[in-house]
Amino acid sequence: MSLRKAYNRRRDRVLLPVAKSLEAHIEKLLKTTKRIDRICARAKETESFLRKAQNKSKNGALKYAEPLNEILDQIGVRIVVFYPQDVDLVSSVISDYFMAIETKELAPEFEYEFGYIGRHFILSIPTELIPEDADEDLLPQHFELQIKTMFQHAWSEASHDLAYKPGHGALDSEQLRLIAYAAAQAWGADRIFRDISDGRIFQNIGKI
Amino acid sequence: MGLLFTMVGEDLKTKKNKLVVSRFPADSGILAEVDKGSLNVQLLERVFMKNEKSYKAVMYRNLTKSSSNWKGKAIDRQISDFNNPTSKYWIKDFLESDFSVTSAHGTTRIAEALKQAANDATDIDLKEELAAAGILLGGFSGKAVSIDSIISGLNLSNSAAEAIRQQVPSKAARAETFQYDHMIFRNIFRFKSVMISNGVMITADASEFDNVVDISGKGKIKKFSTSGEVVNQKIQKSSPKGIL
Repeated sequence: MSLRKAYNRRRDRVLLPVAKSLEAHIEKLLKTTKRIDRICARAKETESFLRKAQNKSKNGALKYAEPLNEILDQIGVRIVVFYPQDVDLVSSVISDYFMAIETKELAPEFEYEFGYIGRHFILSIPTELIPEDADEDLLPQHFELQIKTMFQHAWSEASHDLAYKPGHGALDSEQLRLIAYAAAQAWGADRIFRDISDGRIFQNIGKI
Repeated sequence: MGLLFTMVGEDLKTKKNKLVVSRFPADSGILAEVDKGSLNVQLLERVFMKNEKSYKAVMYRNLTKSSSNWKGKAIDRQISDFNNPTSKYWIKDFLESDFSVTSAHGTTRIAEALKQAANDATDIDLKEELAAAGILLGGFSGKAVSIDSIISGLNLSNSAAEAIRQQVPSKAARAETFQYDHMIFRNIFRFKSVMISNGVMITADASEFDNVVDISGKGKIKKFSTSGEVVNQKIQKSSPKGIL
């Protein structure tokens, strides 16, 4: 069976229903958590999965020998929050309720660079969300969860859309510079809202 | 001390790596070997299995060949405490592993199941039994349990056990071990409800119910009395099923 066919089968039978259950499960967990803009779960698009399966390591070999088992974001959840401090608050709830096999703080390598920022987790799918009759071979064990501020979310959505626009080539140097500039502005906006909310919201949390 | 066996291999069906570790209590023994016309006798300490039915074992399977993430199933046949199906020492200290379900998740799962089962129950005896189970669970705090072990440990009636199982339909989820946290449980399962034959239902914090509601009377007829300031009231259009 081709990888496309195998993934489509898995996506239709397992990934889509589990993503839907996962979204409802996380919404319930975070019901009383404030300043959450949205929670959305998705099954990875087939083309996106196949593109990722072709990723190569530095030595030129394929990065994933078993893409169906090794690509861990076949189900992805994103939680978008208002302020940078909310990322920590939501992370704390997520860590309490999910078993994490990996936690990553993604940020540009150097202080003078601006680009993708976000907190990523690889988490185990809760057993109760797995349909009783699910085929074990079709079932991934984990999903990826991202927590972002609204500005981080907006930047990553727009920059991803532009970078992978079908029919267009790679972004040129000037476009890349402009996208980095937009990332710097998103970072700056988060910093401003963090500082203002520090005085107006988060200073009171410790007193309650 | 004990005999430790480890086996590493590949699952023929899934082609995934498997690791099995088992540990048996052992006793000392004597080894006698004929060696160039003489008898070589050695005292070997702690080499004989004391009891083949008393052991700890774990089977791990790595999820992908390239991954360092291993998931396993552990068993502990050296403890008989129903509250404690697998010792924390074996999982956390010896194997340096952790339960696949967090304490908060596992505790929330049983609390919501019990709460929903109690709310759905129309039989007052069943409702009371489930409410009582919520109080008795305090004795499990800090222990490694599963929903299955809680059901058998509390010696619940068949109907109470079934009412809980219906709230957690996944057999695999009911069998998962987690460290029970009664503080989390109390934040979710807070109420005890009593329905009496005149249609009145009294609800209060389960752990405080007996302190705030006086119950008197002999036989089947009881008198319930309580006092306090009215802080909220509502009228339901349909016949009461849940909390008034």
